[in-house]
Amino acid sequence: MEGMQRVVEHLRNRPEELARLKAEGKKVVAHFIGDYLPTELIYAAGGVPLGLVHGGDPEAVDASAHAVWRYMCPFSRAMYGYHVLKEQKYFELFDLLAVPITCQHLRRTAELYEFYTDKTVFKLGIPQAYDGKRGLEYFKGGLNLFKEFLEGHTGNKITDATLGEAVDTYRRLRDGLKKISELRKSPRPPISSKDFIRLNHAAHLLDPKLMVDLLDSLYHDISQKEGPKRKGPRILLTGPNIAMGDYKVLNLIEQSEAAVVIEDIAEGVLFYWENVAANGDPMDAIADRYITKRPNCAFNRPSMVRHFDFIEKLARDFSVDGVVWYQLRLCETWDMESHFLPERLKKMDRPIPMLKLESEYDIEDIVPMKTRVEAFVESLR
Amino acid sequence: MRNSYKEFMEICDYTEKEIQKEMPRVKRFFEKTGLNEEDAKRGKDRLINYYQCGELRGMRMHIGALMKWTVDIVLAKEEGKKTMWNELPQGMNSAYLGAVHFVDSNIVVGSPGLNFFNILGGVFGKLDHMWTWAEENFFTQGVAHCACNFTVAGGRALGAIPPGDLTIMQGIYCDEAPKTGELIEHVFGERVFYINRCQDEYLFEPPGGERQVAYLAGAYELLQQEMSKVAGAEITDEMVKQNLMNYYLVEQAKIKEIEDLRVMSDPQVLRVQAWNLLWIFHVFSPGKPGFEERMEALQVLYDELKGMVDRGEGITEKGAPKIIYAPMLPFVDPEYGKVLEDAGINVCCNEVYSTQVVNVEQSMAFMALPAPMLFASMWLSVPLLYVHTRGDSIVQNYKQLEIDGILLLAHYACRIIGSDMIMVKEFVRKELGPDVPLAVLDYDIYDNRYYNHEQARTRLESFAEMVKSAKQSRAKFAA
Repeated sequence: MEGMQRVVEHLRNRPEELARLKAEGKKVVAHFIGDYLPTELIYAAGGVPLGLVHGGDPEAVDASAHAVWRYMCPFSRAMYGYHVLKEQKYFELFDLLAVPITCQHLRRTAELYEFYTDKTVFKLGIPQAYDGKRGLEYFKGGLNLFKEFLEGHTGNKITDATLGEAVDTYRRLRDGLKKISELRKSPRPPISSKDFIRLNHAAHLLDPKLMVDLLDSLYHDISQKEGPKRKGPRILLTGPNIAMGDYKVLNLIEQSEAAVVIEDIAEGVLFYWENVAANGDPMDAIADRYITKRPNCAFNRPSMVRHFDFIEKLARDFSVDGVVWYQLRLCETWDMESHFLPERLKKMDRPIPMLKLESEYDIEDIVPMKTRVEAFVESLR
Repeated sequence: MRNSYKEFMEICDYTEKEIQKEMPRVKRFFEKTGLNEEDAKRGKDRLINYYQCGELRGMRMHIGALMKWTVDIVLAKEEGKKTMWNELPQGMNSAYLGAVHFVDSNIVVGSPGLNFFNILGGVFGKLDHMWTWAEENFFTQGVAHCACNFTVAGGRALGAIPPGDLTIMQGIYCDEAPKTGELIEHVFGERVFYINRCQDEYLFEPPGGERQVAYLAGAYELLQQEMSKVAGAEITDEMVKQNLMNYYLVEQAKIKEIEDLRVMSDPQVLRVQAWNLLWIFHVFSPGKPGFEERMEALQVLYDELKGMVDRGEGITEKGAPKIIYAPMLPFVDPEYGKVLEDAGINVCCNEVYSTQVVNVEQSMAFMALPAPMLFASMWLSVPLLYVHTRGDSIVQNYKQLEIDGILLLAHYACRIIGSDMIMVKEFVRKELGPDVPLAVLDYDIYDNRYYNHEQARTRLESFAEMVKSAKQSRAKFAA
């Protein structure tokens, strides 16, 4: 696909481009990608939002061993390990790091940056419960602090006009991704899950306006086409995280002739699902989108009923035959939740089986995972 | 034939009359928790070997109070009582719940998981059946789940922990405890109340920011409303504060006297494992419920320990090297601390020990706050919550108490007080220099299956040798 080629080319040039923007005085504001950090604010402040989306590399995990104990999730360890390795430019290029405090793993990673590096860290508190106004007000308070933080560091005031423009840009970006995602409701999806996930990752790294154009042109390319005919089942992939580079589960599913047609992935994908309202006070609309409207995550308490309702809806809308639950080892909340989903899926009008896989970014994961994926896909035929 | 139940109850300071009256309940407790007469015998031996119950009546009274409380918890529903639980790992919420006794003293208030660790784990050494259930059902092995939650969930599944009419699961420390709350809600249908905080404080800044305190206080306000609903009568702010000030804090002051006595004693008068149990038992105190019994036990123990100090008696040699440990010793493996003591070490205090004198004026102003704000402020100032306050506390104690070695224990699977241990070590090293005898060991507070006891022994003994030889070298150098 030509559209994908263009995305890949832009990604290739992005580190140099970021270096140039830095040299011109722009602030690169990195953030963790759990979709709780409103990048609209960074953009409105004239900063360059940069989602730290890489993972899947056991070396990056190992590189954090001098600083943090081994029972933290591999993605969170890699988030610091890449910085230690100095091989991944994105992890060196940023000026500021904004961390939404979702789970304990990412909270600890933020502390590693505070403790061991001279990077300036901003922490955004995330209310873990959907308890109405109280949590939302706390979050709004945090957003105001974030706004002040950004204004202080970039030297630019966030005005209603700049924020409105940023909201509009991100609305278009999310709409672009959602339109493409929904094409996969078709029996012959015109885009593979791996490519779609790459688009999500690119959206964390590239300039949002550029990304809007790229998505529009890609949509134009593929919306009238049909994808290859497949014999295999349609899969919903759920889990905490698919990082850029952690593609083994996607490869294995594709190799087994099944197709992932929708993802419920808390970090890295799915940030397109809900949008910020176009009218009303933009800060209120942002808070509402990032806390109330967005699909929830296993660290929420409680989370299961709402989470499983969402999965069930996706499974129906995308005509799914099976669910693959892909979790990172040592992610305690996702693991506990994993025990309850099969029971819920069995109760659907058309019961759907589930396969649970886990990984610690270890290369040795692949062989047993392959056997299990193949057997699962076979059982769905 | 010996009656092991009776002997066990005797070592727990039950009177003859109490034994007669309570025996059926105690036996029922054994049955419900999966214990048997053999366990009673083993429990008695462990109380003598590790908790000084053979020598100190104050310890026997403590274990008795803990045992009676645990029996009340286990049998609460069979006996038709209402129940309010505060599950691990947060202690002070129990003092909130205890206020319910101002309106109904029949409600059983407690922390089943904590009591199980101390009694079933520490005294009887038998919790595996609950852990196995948890691992077979909801806590996948290899994911580094916390055994604290195995007990909370497994205890319920096996019918040992009756459902709470209101159960607090805290999200102040970690994510897994509240997730276990969700499990309890989902599987056992219990009414769970979550107390959350957003952990967005910065390292190296004073803890307990205004926003954070206000948010946490909001959770306590809601808790108070929930408690009122369950109790069927209003729990007022005044009741909560009275429970805190007239009961909970009075008890904390008394246990602090014992702690001070212990820390300053040379030779050491109280085994660290006994202290470990006492400390956590009183931190989780509900205040008013059972107050008199606990206070009496504290006074008797204080008098006994003071007597030992006056007579120059102790469980270590005089002048033995002193160490500070962080954060606490394993509850279920009482031999852990004894290994150090047998190697000639005075296991002096843990990281949260404070030599600071209370500022009365400041405290009075503090106490004028509404109850939810008061609790939230107190909680967010606990040093254990942050890397730098942990480090600070260790460094201050090291300097002021003339400590000879530092033992940092990284609690396996704990994303809070385990995963930060390397940073705590770096912090301490930076402040005290590279020559301080310091070790970081992997262990598990709740589950002794997660470390190899013999390996732990080797490491603890090596650490003890290192501390002793460093002390000798310093003495030689000074001479």
